[in-house]
Amino acid sequence: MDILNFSAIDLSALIDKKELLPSEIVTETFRGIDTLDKKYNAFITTLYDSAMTEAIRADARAISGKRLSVFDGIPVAVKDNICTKGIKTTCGSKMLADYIPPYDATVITHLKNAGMIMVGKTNMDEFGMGSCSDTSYFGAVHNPFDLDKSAGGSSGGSAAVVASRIVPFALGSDTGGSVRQPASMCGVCGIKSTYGAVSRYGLVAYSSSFDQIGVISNNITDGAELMNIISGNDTLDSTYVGLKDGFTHSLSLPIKDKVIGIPKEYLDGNIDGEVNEAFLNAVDTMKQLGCRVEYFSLDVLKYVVPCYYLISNAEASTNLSRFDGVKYGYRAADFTDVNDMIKKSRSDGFGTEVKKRIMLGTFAITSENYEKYYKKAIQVRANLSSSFDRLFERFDAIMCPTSPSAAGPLGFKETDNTRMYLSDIYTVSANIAGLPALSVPCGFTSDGLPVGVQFMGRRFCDAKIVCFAAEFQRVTDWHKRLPKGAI
Amino acid sequence: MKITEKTVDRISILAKLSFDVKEKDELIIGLKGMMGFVTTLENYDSVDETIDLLPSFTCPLADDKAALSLKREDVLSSAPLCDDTCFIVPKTVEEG
Amino acid sequence: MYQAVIGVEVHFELSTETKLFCRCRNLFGEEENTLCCPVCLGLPGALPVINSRAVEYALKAGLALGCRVNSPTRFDRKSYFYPDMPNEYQTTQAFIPICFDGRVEFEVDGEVKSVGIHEIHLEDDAGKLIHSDNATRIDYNRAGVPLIEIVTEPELYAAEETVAFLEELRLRMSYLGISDCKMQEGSMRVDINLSVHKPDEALGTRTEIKNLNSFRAVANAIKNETERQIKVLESGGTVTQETRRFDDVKGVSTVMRSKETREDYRFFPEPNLPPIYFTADQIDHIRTNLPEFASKRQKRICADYGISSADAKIITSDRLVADYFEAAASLCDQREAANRIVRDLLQKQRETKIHITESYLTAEKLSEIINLFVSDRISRRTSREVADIAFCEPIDVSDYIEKNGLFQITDEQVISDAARSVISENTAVVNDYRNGKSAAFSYLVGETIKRLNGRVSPQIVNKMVDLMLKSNKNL
Repeated sequence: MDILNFSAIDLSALIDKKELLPSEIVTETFRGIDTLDKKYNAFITTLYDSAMTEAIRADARAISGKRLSVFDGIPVAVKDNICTKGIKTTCGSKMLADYIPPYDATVITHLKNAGMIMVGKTNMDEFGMGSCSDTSYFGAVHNPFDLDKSAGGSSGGSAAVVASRIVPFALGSDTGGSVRQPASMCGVCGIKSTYGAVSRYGLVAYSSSFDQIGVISNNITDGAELMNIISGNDTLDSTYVGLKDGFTHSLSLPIKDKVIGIPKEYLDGNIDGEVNEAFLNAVDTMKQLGCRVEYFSLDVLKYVVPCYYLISNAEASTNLSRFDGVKYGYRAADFTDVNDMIKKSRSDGFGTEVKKRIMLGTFAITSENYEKYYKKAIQVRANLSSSFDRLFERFDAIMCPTSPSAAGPLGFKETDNTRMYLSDIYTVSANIAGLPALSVPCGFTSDGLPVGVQFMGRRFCDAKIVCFAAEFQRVTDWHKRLPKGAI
Repeated sequence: MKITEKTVDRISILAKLSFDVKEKDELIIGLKGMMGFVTTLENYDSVDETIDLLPSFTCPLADDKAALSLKREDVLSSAPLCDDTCFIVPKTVEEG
Repeated sequence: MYQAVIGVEVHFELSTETKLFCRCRNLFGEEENTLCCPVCLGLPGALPVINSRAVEYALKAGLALGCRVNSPTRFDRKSYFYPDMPNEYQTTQAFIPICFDGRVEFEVDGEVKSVGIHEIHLEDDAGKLIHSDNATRIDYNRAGVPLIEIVTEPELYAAEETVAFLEELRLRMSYLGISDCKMQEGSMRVDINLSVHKPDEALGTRTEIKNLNSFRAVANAIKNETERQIKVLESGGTVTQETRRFDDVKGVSTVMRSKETREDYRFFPEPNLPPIYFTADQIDHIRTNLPEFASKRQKRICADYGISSADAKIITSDRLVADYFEAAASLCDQREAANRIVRDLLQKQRETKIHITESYLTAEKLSEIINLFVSDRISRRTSREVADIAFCEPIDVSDYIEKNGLFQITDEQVISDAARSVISENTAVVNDYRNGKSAAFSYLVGETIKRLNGRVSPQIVNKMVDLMLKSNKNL
């Protein structure tokens, strides 16, 4: 029995039937890590001892029929920017290479309360800043479908371990597409909830008004069930609202006659031909499922990338001020005074991309630029939100590619910044407007690289797009294709 | 706005970062790129006064009831330098 | 002909149970770094949650100073690097302060003046740096303690006036019970903005003098800076916009930083905290429950209880003492109550460092003692002694007086027996009395009182002796 290829829900059913024990699953998981992670570099920390201890406890609960949740005893991997008490949380940075938080993020508490077993912390772009998972202090993540290709980012480690079936799902974080884009690059599903549906307490901040913790999974139902768990109650994040009915209540609802909107702007110019083709096939699939498709145009979309650029870097520049070598993290060895100590610690402790974004963000909110640009960006943001509100009076979902191209080669340095940012064009809108959005596999390029399609929905109606994605997966098998050499 | 080495120097003082010459050149390109990009925002003029710039829900407030603080050993556990009770940094001049 | 123009910025630490953005205790003088958590240490991933009481206190302060309230109000980040600030930014209110546009009246030498309140904002305090010869140690217990900053319009014109305003301000904040207002402990901190100009000319360039920690220092700093600026101008120079530090011992100020080196604080909205909206009901509720402030209360207490203006001022300078007085005054002789509080109890409070309201001498006990005195059941001296003991010990007043035999003797038989024996033993004095020496009468009264150990009303003895001498000439 090749248990790693099972969905989490199927594994859970086997545990319920007492045909499988959590410790057996976790043993397999670590066999997978041992054989595969040398190739992917997807983990920064693995947690064999604590995972086995927890698995044996979960065995006892399973045997006595007292499982804590549907995923009690199921292994999960966690992106290394989510704080775990007593376990290194590095954010892929030299700055925090040895940092051990004294507290758990709220989502980690939820995982523990559900009896889930954390097997490791996954590699990522430093502080989430990147879209190739190659700015990590711990080296780049390799795409399981082609080791010379990027796994996408910033949650590339989480996407790779899920794609290779080491775990059925993993937590990631999504600031401008960092869950959906690597999911798309690695042929797996990625869910970013409505802003406020999941507590951010304990997620090391990149851009606070965009960041959301999300789930990467092999199939959308597993992912949505895990979202139900991590979106539980919290009083420590003032922007947390929760999701009253969860992510899975619409799963059985029919999608026939539902209306899907497609933004024309997204299919112009920038998009790769094979990606476009895969996307149009996905649109056809939805039509075959009985959905109606309408194209629309939205002028404000041309401002979303600069808007994202400005706000995310501005927030990042102050969010990362606290890394000063005073209270925790890296402190430079030689310095002349406290000012020099802070400056050297930051200059040595942060990587190039992080420093660049801090500089851009600092520049963006200097007093002369604040009025001129930052305020405009806020207006664009408000306009985009209300435009989407109006669109969702017409449409049940918006569909577009997740990324304009499939995974790129590792080591390729994008010199043109604006091009790099434009690659986020399909994903950032959901972050700017706080919408739920998810990516599911919808095809492969001729080189065998996965392509993803994105569904976006109305705020706090996350379950509806989960339903669309589940229907799509019911009639397609893109998500079942394994990378060569996985498990 | 002109982006020069002086701009980079000024921003790096604010951001408490230092750069060598090569890095500075890259940053000038980066900042210029961003400004070229961000200046498209200046064309955005369809300011709709009816759109609220602030979220409409009120911030949740907490009761003024004390909860446990961290143990001091946990407070200091990640400190690059400390004694039994305090964090330690090089002698700092008062700025007020 | 030069005129100083002064505005003040006053910080008050709010006396909440917990900090502004986390639920660590807000306490002074605890062991270093024992009141810290992920939030107030600025740990990666930690997020702020606003203390509702801090918001309520800021609203109280604003409404007590006649301000309007911003709804919504919001927090912003103020970025600059200094190791006492865990996040390396302060969370303050740069764009939409909680309160604005107020006005406060205060008295200087009997004249009523007023000053505008520009705004009041809420913000978090920094930790404490402990300097030694070769290193600086950091204690983050104070990091995150809630502060309000009250910013006035530049509408003060002299040192005495500024101090009078600050006294009024401190009194109001202490009446609201929102701050300890202790300048020495830093729970009230004053910064001064000052410029000079000739009255018919435009305002001059201002300087800021930071961290003044007593009213005396405020007055001295204002006088000193006014003279300094006038001297600069009269010698043909120009005043530069800068921040200065005043040394109250040496009486000189020095430059801390000039405008050129001032940082760009890069204010921008704190994304982790949505705006706070208030309802009209919330505001009205706070407004209608504001206390009656000292100056008004002083006048009312004078009129209602017939006590002196000087005593009323002393009593109302502490809201709790004024409450205590009013509680006692409703139960006993009002002037006597005022007298005891002003002459005896405040003295006792200073000696013992126990606040009257925290002593064992409740207003009820004080009035019980005063009532016993007024009805001649105990002597004045006894009443003061009992009050003194009851301040420090949980005694039952009448039990104590009874057990120690301190009640006045009211049994006429006992008094007349004593008087009779004094008269019979002092025939010479009685003769002097008969011969018209008035001192003889006083002597006989005094001896009788002495014989009764002082526990008798002189009036009663007076009457008794007089009666005896007059009614029985053959005694």
